[in-house]
Amino acid sequence: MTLRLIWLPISLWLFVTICGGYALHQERLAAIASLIRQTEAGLHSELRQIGSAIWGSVPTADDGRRFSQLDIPPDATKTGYYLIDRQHAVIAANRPESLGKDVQTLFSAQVLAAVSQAVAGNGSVVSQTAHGLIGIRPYRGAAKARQGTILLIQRDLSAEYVQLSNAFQNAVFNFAVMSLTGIALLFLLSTLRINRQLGVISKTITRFADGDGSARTALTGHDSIARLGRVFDRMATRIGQERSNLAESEERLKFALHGSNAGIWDWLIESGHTYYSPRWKSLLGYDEHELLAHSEEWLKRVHPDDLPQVMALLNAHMTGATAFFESEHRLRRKDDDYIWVLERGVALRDEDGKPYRMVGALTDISARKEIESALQRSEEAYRSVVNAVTQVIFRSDATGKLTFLNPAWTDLTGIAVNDGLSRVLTNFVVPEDRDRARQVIAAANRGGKEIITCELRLITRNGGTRWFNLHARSLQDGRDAPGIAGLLTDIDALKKAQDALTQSNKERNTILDLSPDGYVFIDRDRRVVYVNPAFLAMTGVASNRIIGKGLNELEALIQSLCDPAKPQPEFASAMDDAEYLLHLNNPAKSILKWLIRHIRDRQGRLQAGVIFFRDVTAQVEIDRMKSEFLSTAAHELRTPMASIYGFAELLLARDFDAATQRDLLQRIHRQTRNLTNLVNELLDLARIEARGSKSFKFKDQELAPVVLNTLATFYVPHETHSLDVDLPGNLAMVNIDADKFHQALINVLGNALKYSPDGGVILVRSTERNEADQKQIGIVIEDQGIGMTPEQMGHMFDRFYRADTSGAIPGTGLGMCLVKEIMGFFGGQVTVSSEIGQGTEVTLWLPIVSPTSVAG
Amino acid sequence: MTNKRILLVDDQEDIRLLLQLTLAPLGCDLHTATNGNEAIQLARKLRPDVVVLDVMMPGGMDGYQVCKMLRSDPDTAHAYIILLSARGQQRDIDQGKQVGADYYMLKPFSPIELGDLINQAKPQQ
Repeated sequence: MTLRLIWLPISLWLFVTICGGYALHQERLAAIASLIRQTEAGLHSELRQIGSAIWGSVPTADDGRRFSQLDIPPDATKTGYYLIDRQHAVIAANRPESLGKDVQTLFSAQVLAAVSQAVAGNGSVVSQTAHGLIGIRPYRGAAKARQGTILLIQRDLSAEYVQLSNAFQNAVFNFAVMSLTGIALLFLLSTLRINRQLGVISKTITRFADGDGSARTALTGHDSIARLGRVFDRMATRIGQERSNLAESEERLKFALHGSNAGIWDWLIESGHTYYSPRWKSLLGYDEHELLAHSEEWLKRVHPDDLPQVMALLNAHMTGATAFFESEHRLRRKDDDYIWVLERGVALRDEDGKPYRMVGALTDISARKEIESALQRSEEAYRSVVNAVTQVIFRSDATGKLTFLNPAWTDLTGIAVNDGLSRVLTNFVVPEDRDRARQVIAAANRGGKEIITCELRLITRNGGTRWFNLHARSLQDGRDAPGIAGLLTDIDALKKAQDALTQSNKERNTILDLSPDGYVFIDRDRRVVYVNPAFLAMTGVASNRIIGKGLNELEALIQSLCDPAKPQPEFASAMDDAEYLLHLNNPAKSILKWLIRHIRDRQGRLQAGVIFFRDVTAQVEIDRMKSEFLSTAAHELRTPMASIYGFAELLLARDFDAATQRDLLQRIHRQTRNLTNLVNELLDLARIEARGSKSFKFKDQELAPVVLNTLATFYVPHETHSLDVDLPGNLAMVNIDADKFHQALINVLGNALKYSPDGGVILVRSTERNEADQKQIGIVIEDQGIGMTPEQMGHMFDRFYRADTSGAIPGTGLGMCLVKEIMGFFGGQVTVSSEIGQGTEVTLWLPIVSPTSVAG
Repeated sequence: MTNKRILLVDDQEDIRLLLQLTLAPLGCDLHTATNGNEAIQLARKLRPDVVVLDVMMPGGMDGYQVCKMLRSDPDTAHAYIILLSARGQQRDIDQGKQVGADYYMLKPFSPIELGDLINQAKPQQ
């Protein structure tokens, strides 16, 4: 700057100097011209005087001498005077060294040309040459000797030239020095003046900037700085007006901002420099004087979660996509708490639309956010409850159209909520329940506060039905009910469970009714609540004597039926699932097995109890009979063995006579046969049991020979018994295995014999009957023995059962059992009639095969 | 030890013969009965040193009952009583002990062993 400033005066000076120099140069040229003119005039005059002096007066040729006498100025160095002959040789000269020399050698060709010119012309010639001014006067007289002579004066002007040049140089130098001095002085003066004026402007601007609106430069003059000052003054005046307008406007804005609680920021985008208003600072917990001056100050305070959104909005506005930047986000206060703010800003753009500045306002909306958030939470909570409940929540308008349904609707009916809305609820109710539903809805529509309920079924999407409990209430208690709100609770599972329970109860009751076992149910107070028919049959007690009675009363009742010899344990002290026996004498002699099971809740409190009774009389009897059979079988087997073993041992140990030996051997033999029979009988039964009729060899045959053959082999002790046979020659055709029938008949005959220990007649006869459209022939065996009681008759076909328990009558208890099995395989039957002490009559029935098969 | 008085009670002739043959060489005074009533009458009269009783007998009174009655009568209570039985279940043996039998012998038995037992039997005092 300084360098540039210094060039100005230097240039100015150079210019002035050059101009001055040029003027001086012209002056010098004029001086030179004047000198030449004066010299030319002088030369002409001298040429004339000298010519005249030489040639005028005397017409001789001794001109040289005359020339030398002439009063020629002595300074020969400055002016040369030459008299030259026709050969151009110097005749006379004031410079002795040039005498006799050719002009050509003394001067240049230029001089010669001038000489020639002068000779050719008339009069004197003065011309300018390198040798200075040359004045030439040729001789014009009549004297022949002089013809061609020339007077030549050479005036050397170089000294004058040098003098003039030096003078010019000095003048120029002086001018330059003077002009330099002048210009420097001028520059200094003007700088001082400019400084002064700029100082005024500077001070004024400073004052203005410092807020002195009245500051003016008041500069006069026409220089640019003064004009600048005046322009500033005008501007200041203008700004003053605007400032006053602005102040007014700012005042309003301030009030407005104060009223709106907005914090203002003003952001110069390029530099990032940002102004934050005091309110902005105070909103964020800063003092007003704290220095915050960068856009980062707020950007870095944006909550990390909100920052992406804020940046997106900001960028959208920066790129011009939005008219305003508007964002709700959280800012971190100085104390690190966050507040919710609303920021609204607008960017100022240059001609290219590029934002260079942005101004915005910030409002604390924490309170609003808090309310909004609370509202939202409340809304969400409400919504989540409505969405989460498993009941259908609905609203319908006055016309009954559904206006709201929660998702449970879809969950429970499968119907989309949108498909349900705008339809009437009763449309979804199954036709049977529709009237009931309409009544409830109509009742609810009448208004009132009471909740009306009913149970109904809805048709689900897949065409099934589902039970619901409907609760409905009017939405308004005024005159015009705008609709109803209600709840549909899914009771399908409950309903189905109830149905299932009813069904289950029916099944249970059926089972209990049909069960041969007795059941007694007691409640938590140990009172009888139920007895099944089997129990009543077992005990012969009417149900009204038991139902509602306590357990101890039931116990007393049963006790009264019991065999006094066999005490029964008390129900109350009975262990769960432990089995006990009851020996009843009434209503019939029987043995009951019973057990109790208590049903308890989680706390172990009695809820109910079941006492189970099973009539095990038959089982006990069978067990007894089995045991008896084993005992008897062992006895029967051991008795012959005792003889065999004992006699064999005696025979080995002692010597006997021949007769005794023989007797003993016979006894061994007989007992061995008995033993074999017994074993065979057991094996027969076992075989029949195991193989059924597969071992039978059936054959159509006349029955009479089979019976007679058996009777022939049947041994009757004649001293006590007699056999009376009353049979026709031909009986009937039957399809039997003769061997097996023989065995059956022998067993019956054997019994007739065994059970008439006091002797008598055993009668064998035949009979016929029709049984189920089938003709049957019967072989009857009557004895006059001890007979049987009805009870004994009932058991006579049981395995192991023996009418005689004393052991006096041998047997295995298998005989009649075998008979029954065999007759069964023949398609026949065994019937018995007997009277105690009178005798027994056993009939073996066989189906008669058709005569056609007889013919074949 | 000769001349022991022995009462044999059994309904089976085979067993009676077996014991007669067994005991004959020992020189015992052997008496027999075929049922309970007969046995008790005979025992009261004879006061036998040893009674061999079959358990299963006809006539309404079995060996256990006879044994019990013999033990309850001071005249016969001292006798050494051997029960003879074809029933070998534990409850039968227990019942024998209950009614006061000294020995329970299961059929079939060794007549020689029975002879030795009778020979060594010591009536209760």
